[in-house]
Amino acid sequence: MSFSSPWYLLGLLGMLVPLIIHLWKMRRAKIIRFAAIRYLLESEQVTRRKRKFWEYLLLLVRMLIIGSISLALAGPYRLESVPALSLGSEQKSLILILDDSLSMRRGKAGGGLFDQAKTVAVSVLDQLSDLDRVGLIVPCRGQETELTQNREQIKNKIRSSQPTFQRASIVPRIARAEQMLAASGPKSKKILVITDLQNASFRDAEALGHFDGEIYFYDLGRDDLAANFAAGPVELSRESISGEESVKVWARVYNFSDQRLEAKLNLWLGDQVLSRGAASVDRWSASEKTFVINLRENMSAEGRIELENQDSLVLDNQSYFHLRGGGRVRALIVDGNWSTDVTSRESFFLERALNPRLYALSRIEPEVISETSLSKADFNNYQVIVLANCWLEDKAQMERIKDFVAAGGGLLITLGDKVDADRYNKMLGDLLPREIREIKVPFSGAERAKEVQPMHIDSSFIGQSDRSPILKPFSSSGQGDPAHASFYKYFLLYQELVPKGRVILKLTDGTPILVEKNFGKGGVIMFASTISPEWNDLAIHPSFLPLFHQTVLYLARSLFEISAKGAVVGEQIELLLPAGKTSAQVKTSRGSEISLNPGQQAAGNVVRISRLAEPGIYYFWYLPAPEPRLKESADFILAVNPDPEESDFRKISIEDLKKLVPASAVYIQTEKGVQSEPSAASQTSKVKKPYHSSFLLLLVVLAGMEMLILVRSGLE
Amino acid sequence: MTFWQKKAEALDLISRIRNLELKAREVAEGALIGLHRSRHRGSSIEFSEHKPYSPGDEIKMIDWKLFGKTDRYFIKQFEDETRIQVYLVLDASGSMAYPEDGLSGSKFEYGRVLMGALAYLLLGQGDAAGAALINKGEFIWLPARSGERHFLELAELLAQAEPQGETRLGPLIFELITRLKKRSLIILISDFFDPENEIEAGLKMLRHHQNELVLFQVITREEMEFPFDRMSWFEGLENEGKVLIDPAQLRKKYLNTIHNWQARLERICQELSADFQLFRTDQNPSALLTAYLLYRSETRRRRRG
Repeated sequence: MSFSSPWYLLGLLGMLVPLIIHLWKMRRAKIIRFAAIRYLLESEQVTRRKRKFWEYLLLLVRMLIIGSISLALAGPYRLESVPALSLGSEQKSLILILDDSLSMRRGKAGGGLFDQAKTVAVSVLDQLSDLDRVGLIVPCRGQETELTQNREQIKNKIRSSQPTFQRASIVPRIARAEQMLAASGPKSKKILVITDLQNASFRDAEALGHFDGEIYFYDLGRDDLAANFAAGPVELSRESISGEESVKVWARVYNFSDQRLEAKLNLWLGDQVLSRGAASVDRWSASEKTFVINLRENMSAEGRIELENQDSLVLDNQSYFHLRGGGRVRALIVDGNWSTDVTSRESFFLERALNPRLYALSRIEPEVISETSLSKADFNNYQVIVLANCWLEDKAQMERIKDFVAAGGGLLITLGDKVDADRYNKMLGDLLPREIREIKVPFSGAERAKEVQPMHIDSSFIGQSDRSPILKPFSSSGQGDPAHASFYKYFLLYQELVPKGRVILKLTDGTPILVEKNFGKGGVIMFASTISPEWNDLAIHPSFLPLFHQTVLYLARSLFEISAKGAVVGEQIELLLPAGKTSAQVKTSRGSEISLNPGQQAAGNVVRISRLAEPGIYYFWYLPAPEPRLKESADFILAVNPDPEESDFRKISIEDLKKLVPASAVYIQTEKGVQSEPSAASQTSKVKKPYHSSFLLLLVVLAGMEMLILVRSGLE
Repeated sequence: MTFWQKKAEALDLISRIRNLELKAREVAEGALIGLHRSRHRGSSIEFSEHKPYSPGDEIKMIDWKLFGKTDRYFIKQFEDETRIQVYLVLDASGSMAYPEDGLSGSKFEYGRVLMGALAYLLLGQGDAAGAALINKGEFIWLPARSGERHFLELAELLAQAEPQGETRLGPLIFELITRLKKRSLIILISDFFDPENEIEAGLKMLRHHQNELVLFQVITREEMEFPFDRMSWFEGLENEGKVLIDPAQLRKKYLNTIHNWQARLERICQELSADFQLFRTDQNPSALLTAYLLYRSETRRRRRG
């Protein structure tokens, strides 16, 4: 133990003060001659032992209090040997690269490896001579300090830096360092990377060209890897459309350790644990656990999967997601094949699919009218209008529908024998996702043989939930497969050079069957066949219900919006501002608010958030927007999670490393010594580890003890 | 010793005797004034010329004249039987010298005045009074005699006494027993800060010899209340050694001990049918004496009657 201000140790003499006071008190005590001394002695004898014990204990505690004050003031520290690279005595230019990735947070509470890295960096700076120049790169923060002789400036930057939550890419930073050194003149060029050599930090990197200098890697990652578990990004899927709506949560657990893991998982929704589960994960692998959340109407909730198991890095043990949506939808079905016999109506199957009434709960309330009564309908009551095989009698009504869609309503057009292609193209015009050509009946071989070869929906489209949220239910089994349906008759649509709409589903012959288009604030979807089983048998397949249920909810913008995969920490996000919006505001997972303006970093009406610094849920609002901006009304919600690769502490091999960064010499230094040829002479440098705080803690404990003794013994 | 020294000493002694005599008279008169106010005027410690007949008494001793008047049997008691013989025993041990700031306020001084007053009262009413004390390790004995002149002898003895040495009330009592020729009333004036068993044994022995006992415990306020508050060395007056004590811590325990001892002493007195009276040096001795005398005459009458 050494002391930074040893003069304060003289204060240790102060320990004698309580003793002196004790003796002085004894001496100063006057003598009282007292006749009843016999009874006094008798009483005193009973309590003497106990009292003496407390007295001496109190004396000891008071002496220790003074002692610990003086020791704490003297600033005790321990000199710890830190192996340091010898960078040679020649004049040099050095770039320090300080790995600040998430994995550097592991280890002891607080800074962990990163603190160690800072200590090493400072000790290296202490070795440099005044003529040497040094620069600093902190990869994840993107911080760079050009070569300078001002070592204090670099030291201050090192001391103030903090580890991040993201993954580092070391190789491009080495390339940048080589670039910085290229202009440094004839001095010897050196790069020192202080890192845990985690594989993930070097993944997907392209090998650099030969560097005319030396690269040192200071390897802080231990060979005996500490066990680490991570909760990977959550995947969500719609479990059921009919009945109670629910979401299946696929939680992924990674086990980066040599032992099998019995993972304990908690599913949080809002501020309560909704469900608990366990998963067994093999060593060095991942496993999935599913949970089911029942959705409520109009819900908006932050969720997370939390891994209870203890490991060396706690920060990657949770994974965030967000759920919202689910309002009621009123749909107006305009039946072009109106009949008093309900079963022979065009919309018979659709109406029952949208709300099966007795069989399941549905958020959709369909209402069927004939085309003739369209003029009486008040569109304000509905979010979606379905034109089912209509003739389109009234031009004025079509204009009303256009206005309805432009103002944000949804329109579903289904075709059939009442539809005249030219009339439709003329009456609806821009509203149609594609112009309608003619009816097609797929014959096998010659048309004359009249042998119909039914077409099916292209199954390669169905699994692609990224194509449209409408298809999400079909990414998991259980919702039926639309590919089973047979199409005997359908309209062909015009292929356009610049497509106005987007194809959601195609038939096996390539004909688009479900096409989507945005119009004004609303959207239009056209189904190129009949909604009744007249031209196809989709209506009698199980997939009919979820497909049109989803379509109507989608048009009404009432689908559950589930953001899970979202983004990875450190990612850059660009948002396209909708028409009429000029900027955006984001509320980060920490609660701070940032304004995003277009043109600053990105072109046009695109806003960019350059770095999602921390895991959590981010809320975005497009401005101008009315105050107050509630989380529920956010225009865009993003769940941000750490990259699970960053939780894998396995290291890159020295051979691979040397291939990636070829240089005149590559040294790898660990705490034990140099591992590579040619060997760099290693030496140790001493680092002060102060521990005056231990004495302050002792002081508090002793003061507490003194109080306790005084109370317990009745001494003064 | 020169003549002048002897003379000075003699004068000093005379003045002390005179002083004591005055104080004793004052106390005694004070006590008597208290008594005069009472209904039982003239009654004194021991005045009975007749005692009720009890089986075993000689028949010839029955006062037939009185029988004729009262129709009850009384035994005539001769003069020297009624004239009670009283021994006043004063504890002159070191502890009685407390408090030592001038002898005037000490327990010994208080006891000495009390003893003088009692002697004055007794001799004044014709009783025989004797005295016993250990002075400077020597047993001093003054046989009981009556007559007012005897008071001076007693006063001289008391004036010469000085509290010193260890309390040995036990040996004093045993010595006393060997000298007593007939049963007597023995008034013990002491702080009774003695080994309890010795005191108990001594008192029992006195009682066994048919003596009547009266215990006057003289004690100071400091001993009863222990009003000290600073940490001090406490030193005994009879070479018990000294001890460093924080009074605040020990007060409760001490008061407990001393009260226990007093309670025990009173219990012993009860068992031995002895009277016990506590005298605190900060209280007026006349008043306490009056109270005691009243109490005694009351209980006597009750016993007799």
